[in-house]
Amino acid sequence: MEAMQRAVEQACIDFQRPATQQQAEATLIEFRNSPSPIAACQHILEHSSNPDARFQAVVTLREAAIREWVLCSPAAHRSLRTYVLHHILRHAGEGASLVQKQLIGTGNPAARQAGIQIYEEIVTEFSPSTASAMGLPWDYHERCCASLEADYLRSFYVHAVNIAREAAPAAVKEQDGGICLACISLMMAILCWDFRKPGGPLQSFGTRRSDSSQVRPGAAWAELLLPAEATQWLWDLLAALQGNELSPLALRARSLTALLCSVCGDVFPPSNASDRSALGLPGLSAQDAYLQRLLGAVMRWISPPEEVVHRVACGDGAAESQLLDACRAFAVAAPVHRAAGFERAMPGDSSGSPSGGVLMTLARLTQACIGAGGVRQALDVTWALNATDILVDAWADLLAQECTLRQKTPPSATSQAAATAVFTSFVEAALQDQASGALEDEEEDEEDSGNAEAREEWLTRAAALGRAAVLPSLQLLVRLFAERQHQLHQCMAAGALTRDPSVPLEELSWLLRMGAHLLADPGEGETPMVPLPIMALVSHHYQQPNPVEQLSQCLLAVAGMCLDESARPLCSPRLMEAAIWAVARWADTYLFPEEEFNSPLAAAFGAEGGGLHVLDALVKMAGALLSHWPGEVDLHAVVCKRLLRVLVHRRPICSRLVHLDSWQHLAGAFAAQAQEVRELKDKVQRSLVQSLCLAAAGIPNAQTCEQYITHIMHSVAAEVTALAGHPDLPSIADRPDVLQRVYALLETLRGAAQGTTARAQPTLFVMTASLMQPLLLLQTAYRRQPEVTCLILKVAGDVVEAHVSYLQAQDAQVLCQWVLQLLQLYSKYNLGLISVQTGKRLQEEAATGAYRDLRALLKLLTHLTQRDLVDFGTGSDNGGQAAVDVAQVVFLGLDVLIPLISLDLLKFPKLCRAYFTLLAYMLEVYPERVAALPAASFSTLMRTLEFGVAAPEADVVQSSLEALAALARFHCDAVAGGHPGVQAQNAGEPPVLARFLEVVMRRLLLEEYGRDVVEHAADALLPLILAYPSAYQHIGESLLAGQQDANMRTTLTRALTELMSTNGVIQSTDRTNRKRFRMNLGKFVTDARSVVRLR
Amino acid sequence: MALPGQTTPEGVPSFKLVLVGDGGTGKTTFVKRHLTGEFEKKYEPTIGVEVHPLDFTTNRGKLRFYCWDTAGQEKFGGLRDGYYIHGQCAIIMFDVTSRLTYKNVPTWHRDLCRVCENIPIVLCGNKVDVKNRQVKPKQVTFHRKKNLQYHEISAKSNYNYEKPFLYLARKLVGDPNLHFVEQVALAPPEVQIDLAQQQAYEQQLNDAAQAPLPDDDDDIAE
Repeated sequence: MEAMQRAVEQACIDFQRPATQQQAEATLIEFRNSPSPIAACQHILEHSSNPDARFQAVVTLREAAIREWVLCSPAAHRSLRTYVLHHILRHAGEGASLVQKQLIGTGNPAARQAGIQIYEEIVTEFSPSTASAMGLPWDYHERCCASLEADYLRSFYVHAVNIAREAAPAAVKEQDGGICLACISLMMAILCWDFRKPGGPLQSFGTRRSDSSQVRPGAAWAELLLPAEATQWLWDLLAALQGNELSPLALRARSLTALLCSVCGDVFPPSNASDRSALGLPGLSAQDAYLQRLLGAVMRWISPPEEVVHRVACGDGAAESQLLDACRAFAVAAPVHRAAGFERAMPGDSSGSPSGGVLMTLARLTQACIGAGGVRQALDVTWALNATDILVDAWADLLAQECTLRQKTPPSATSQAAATAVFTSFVEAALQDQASGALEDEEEDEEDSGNAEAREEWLTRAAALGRAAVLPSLQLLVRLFAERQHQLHQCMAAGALTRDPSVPLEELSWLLRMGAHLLADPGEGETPMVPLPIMALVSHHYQQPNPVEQLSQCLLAVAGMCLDESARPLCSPRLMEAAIWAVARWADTYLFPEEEFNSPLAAAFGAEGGGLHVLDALVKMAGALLSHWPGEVDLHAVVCKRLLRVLVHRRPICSRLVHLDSWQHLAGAFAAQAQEVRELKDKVQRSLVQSLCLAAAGIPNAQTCEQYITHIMHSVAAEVTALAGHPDLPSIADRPDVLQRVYALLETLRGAAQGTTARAQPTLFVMTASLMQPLLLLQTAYRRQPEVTCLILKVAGDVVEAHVSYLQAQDAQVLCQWVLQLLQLYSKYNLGLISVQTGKRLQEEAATGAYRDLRALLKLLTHLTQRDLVDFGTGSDNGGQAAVDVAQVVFLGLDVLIPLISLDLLKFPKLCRAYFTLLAYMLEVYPERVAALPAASFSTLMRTLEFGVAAPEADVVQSSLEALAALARFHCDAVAGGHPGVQAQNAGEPPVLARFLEVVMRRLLLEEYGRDVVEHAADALLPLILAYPSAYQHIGESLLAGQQDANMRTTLTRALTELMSTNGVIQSTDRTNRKRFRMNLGKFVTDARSVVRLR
Repeated sequence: MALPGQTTPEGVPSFKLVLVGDGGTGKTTFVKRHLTGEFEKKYEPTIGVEVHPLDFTTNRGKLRFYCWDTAGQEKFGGLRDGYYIHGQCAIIMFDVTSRLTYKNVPTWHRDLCRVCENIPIVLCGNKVDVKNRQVKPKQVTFHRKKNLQYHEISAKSNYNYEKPFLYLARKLVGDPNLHFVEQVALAPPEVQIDLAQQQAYEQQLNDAAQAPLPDDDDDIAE
């Protein structure tokens, strides 16, 4: 004991020194995992003067108690429990005595406080989502949880409130020994409980019922939470703590208040307020009255808003803390009660606030926070950013109903006024931010994705606010557009810039994005609807001009500046990028609107109205920007990926588009591979040709469609053919200009494949087929250019994906043949290459190269397996024709791929996932061919499979186990039928497959697991046990050998026997038996883990 | 408050920072970003703990965080909460592309608070650069409940990289206006130079420079 104590104490000291840390850590881990350490832990707790050693001892004790609980006798349980309780009570005062010298009163407040803290821990432990890992089945946790909630939780709460109320007066003077604070913490732990829905099903394993932060305690809690006296003591306490707002008690009391604000659900009796007023009932509903009391308390923290914000800005920490707590409280109450509830609880004439009630006060608070820098990231005023962030969320929730539901009643006048005020402040502050940013020299990498996403998120929330008062918001933006455009034009005189346009340019860029957000939702592949508040405005607003149309025209006008040659000096690429982004988003909703009854909009932008003109203008803008803004890659990308993609997204637009001269012009420029098209970056070219091909969906006539596609693609196809057949290809291939061209041509072919639609597919396939031979020639010529090789694989992947499911058997054969040849070439030229490079950087380069190739290969092969599905469906129709042998091609691919795969490469998550998905498929469908793989490939495959089973990602584990299950079942069935199975590959002792028994067992018993792992593992484990009974026995023996304790041995032996004997499990891999085995395994894992696992 | 035995430069205050969160959320990548400026694409689980000194220069002088980068995966956990002792501040990391890692935040927070009472904690949602994000900003509510600071970050694109450190530094120093004064100093990458290899490499670089390379559209580590 003494020696152990000294060792732990020394390790704790060494642990803090870098030089000795690892050694010390090893010692501590050994101590932690040692069998039966409880006595040693107690010894250290009692005798050591080193707090670190006591800490390590108590942590070890906790783990050991959980680990060895099932094995200890009831007497040992009792003695351990008694010891722990005594220890806590004896040492309860120590922590507190540091802050507080004296204990007052009879009894022992410290012990009482400790008691309350134990309650809090109990609540935490009984909630499955916060329980310690005890290796117990979830079902057990769930039952504990249900029992605590039904039988104890409410009395805990009552208990806590009563003690807190009693202790509060003393607590204010810091004379309660921390009891009040502990009670409030307990109440918070109880409110954070994951309340179950009455009659709801038992929870599935380990997931929380709800992600939201709301407190949903159910009707039974109404009498505990809703009466005025349930919270009055808290308001008294907060009032008494004035001047002491940063004390732990005040902080916790405010947190409790915020938590009470998020109470929702059945706890409120059903009579709702609108019914009350309809019935002429006086007074407030219970819900409104509850909110009124809470808001009353919270408002005190921020009244008057401007002054509070000013104090915070001057560095008043107490004011800051109160402000943020208030914001949080509003934000959690907002989705529960909405603007209407807030208004009912505190209408404008309430005495609590000077004007406009709680909503106007909230608006003033938001405006003040925005004014203090709440939307200006560059100023970096953390509190203002946080407060504004929370408040804007609150507003979105307050006004959500009005924005998203089809409601007859518009938002109330107060809501609208508040929304207008906040939106206006937001827009003004954001513009100011843009203006000041425009003149800063420091170039931040604004385009990084995180930043862009955060900006989008902000604009979305601002738009939600704007839509709550849609008319004034639209009018505001229209006015600002006019002003800023005027300012921009002032910067130019007589065709030349006379003044720096940076400020209006930045402001307009922001306005464009804001306007597009206000008007339209993102499409994300669907056709977005006109947002409801805007729809309502359009149908009710008969005045001319219509503000929706006005703002739309503003967006179009700025984008259209690029068509006006005299205005071009003002069209910075950044402005144009924002403008094209904005009109693309706008066009997705408003151009050729599907709801034609929307008369004012239909007249302006419908197919029969002004829409055609707008469409023409948009195409012209695209053409102008692609040709007159050379080298602006980002701008070109927005034009092709956003604008053109939106235009070819819907058929009604496509069918007009293809007849426009402007579109013909764009297509013609591409078809002729005009200089400006050649100068575009290769990936922009890909995107451009994709859109051009997709537009073919608008051509109803097959022949015309063929002509259109042929027209677009003929010169590219001719160039590829000519290049591949060039007599001097080997000598010119590596010339930079030729190489550049090859990249562009290959990307173009990818674009055409990605732009394949049903109508254009036959033509595109004929074109592709004609290029198959040339591409093989290029593959040979560029065998020393890994980038090109990889790109050709990607072309093949895209082609297969685009065509494989359309093709007749004959064409599919052609395609497969081509892929086969490509793979053969690839393996011929590349297999030897990735090898003995030793330099670190070079190895990394090589790994990256191999990574790219492999992913391209994997994609290609996975797309190819899609063909199997086609052939399954049409197998009988083929008559005499042999089905395409996809498997042959894929297996050749695997042959190429497997030697390249290394465990190191599998550490790249994407590659890993793709590899195992393909593997699972191949093993499930073609286990016999996998079994026949050459020995070297087979053993690599097995090694990767082992990696996959132990991987941390759930989907990789699942795929690997599925693959393993398929192979094991194949082997088991084959052996049972007298065939060799995977025998040939399976040499050695133990056989390769048998080793997996141990791998899977280890996964199940020693590592983190989830229910689904057990399910998938069961399907793999059953055939393995059946095929290798002796190996199973061996594992059992080695598990037992590791157990000293007789009880443990008994438990484990029983578990091992029952796995294969109970529940009617027999020696078979059929479906029913697999199902039974799965159930057995669940129980086995629970039992065995509790013994085997050292945690 | 230098840790005993750490060779901390004279007069530079240092703080023990505990970095926790589920496995694969990018804790090590986040730290390495500071140490070498490089983005680690591969995933190699941390075993036990790795302690790294991270230096920052503020308007009030230099300061150092000793960052205890702990293992997220249970099986490599080592001492787990045993590492938290004497922690003065903490970062809890989750991955916005994986809901499960967010769901486990309360557990990490609880374990942390059991050992370190009342220390400043930043909750970080990493990988916001990835396109299919699963945890939307709106769904991140835990920090409001527990009064933590929340930052969305991307170790890959360096987005908001300094924010967590700045917040912690302000809290620890007790100066809400503290700011970092120079670009975070990135230690030079450790490259072992093999001369012959280097020459071969330079030759290849020259060859490669002759031709413009297409950049890859498939992000490696998404």
